[in-house]
Amino acid sequence: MSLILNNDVKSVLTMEIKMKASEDGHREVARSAAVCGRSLTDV
Amino acid sequence: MTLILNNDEVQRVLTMDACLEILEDAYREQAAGRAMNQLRYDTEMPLPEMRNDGRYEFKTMVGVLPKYGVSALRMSSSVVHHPVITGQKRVEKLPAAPGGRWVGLVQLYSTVNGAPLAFMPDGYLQRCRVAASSAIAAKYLARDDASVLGIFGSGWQARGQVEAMACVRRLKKVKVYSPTAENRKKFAAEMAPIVNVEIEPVEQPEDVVKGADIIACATNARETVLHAPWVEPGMHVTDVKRIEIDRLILDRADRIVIHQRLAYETRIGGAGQYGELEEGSWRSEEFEGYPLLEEMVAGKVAGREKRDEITYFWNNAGLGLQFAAVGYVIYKRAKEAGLGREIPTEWLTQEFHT
Repeated sequence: MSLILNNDVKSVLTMEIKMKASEDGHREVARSAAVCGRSLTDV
Repeated sequence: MTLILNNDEVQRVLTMDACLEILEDAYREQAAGRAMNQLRYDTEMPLPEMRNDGRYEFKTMVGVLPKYGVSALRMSSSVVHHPVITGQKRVEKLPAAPGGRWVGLVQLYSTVNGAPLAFMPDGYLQRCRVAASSAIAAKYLARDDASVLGIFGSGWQARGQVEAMACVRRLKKVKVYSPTAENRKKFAAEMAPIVNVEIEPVEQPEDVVKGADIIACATNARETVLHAPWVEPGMHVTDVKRIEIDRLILDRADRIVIHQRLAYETRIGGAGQYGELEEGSWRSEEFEGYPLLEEMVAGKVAGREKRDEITYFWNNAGLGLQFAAVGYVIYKRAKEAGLGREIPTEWLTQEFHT
């Protein structure tokens, strides 16, 4: 159980971590092992 | 401070009659253009390692109701599968969260200053809001002397339907059918003392309909449970999901009222960034030309006009508005009663905007 505030985020989140996680996320979408919700404006 | 409530606390403060009253007012607000919704959206990702077509589901609905100073986000995060039970494919949400629990939350926010007001589970609220909307429709569409209620289903939703219908009509008898005999008997034994009405479990689905004045489908079935030819003049019928009543009801009913105008999307992951539209999903064109419940409540369209009409409330999807309205009642009453736990609102707000 955790509630994470902005200061906590700032102290653990580096650009390197963000890029690595994002790249991995894109790979998962590319192999159709992840899915995103569509904004209504896309409908 | 932001209020955190559990289902017991919600149940202690939320009565079905209060739910009906606030929802009817919310529909009037919406009919007057003073409330709005964001369309429900279901995102389902197949989990190949699970049997029975296992999936992870994330669902959202949003409603804004300035009269009561609230907006609501209702979300659920679930692991589901689709087993075949007594010949019918069903959807089952698994208690996959720690402690063998499920996850569905209503987050209530202030339309005055944007701050988070309360977080509460959606379980009891969900049951009440669906049933209350069905009962509000029945108030306008069922015969005044309707006294026999037929129910398909014996779960939470069905229980809510009996309670809510008992608020709008003087019921003398309830008949219930669900595929598992033990479930329908348990339903009858548990619900009869709550609504103080005789409840008869019946063995054949057709028997629910015979002699009924109001027929409510509140099942988790993936196949039709009520066949339109069974419905007789003077009856009022309603459902909670598409599959429950065959579409011949649209020809058979003399008066049809729907809950909302736009088809929501259920998208299944496994192809592309946004997955694919679930097979058999609603299309908004299907709802064209039918009046809305809010229009009937606001007196813009008529309810039942003749005794022998077949009326149908097509509860084609829920509205986020229901969570804002009912969530407000719960929040207000819980604050008055000193229920729940408060956390600093500062924990949920921030010092810059995004």
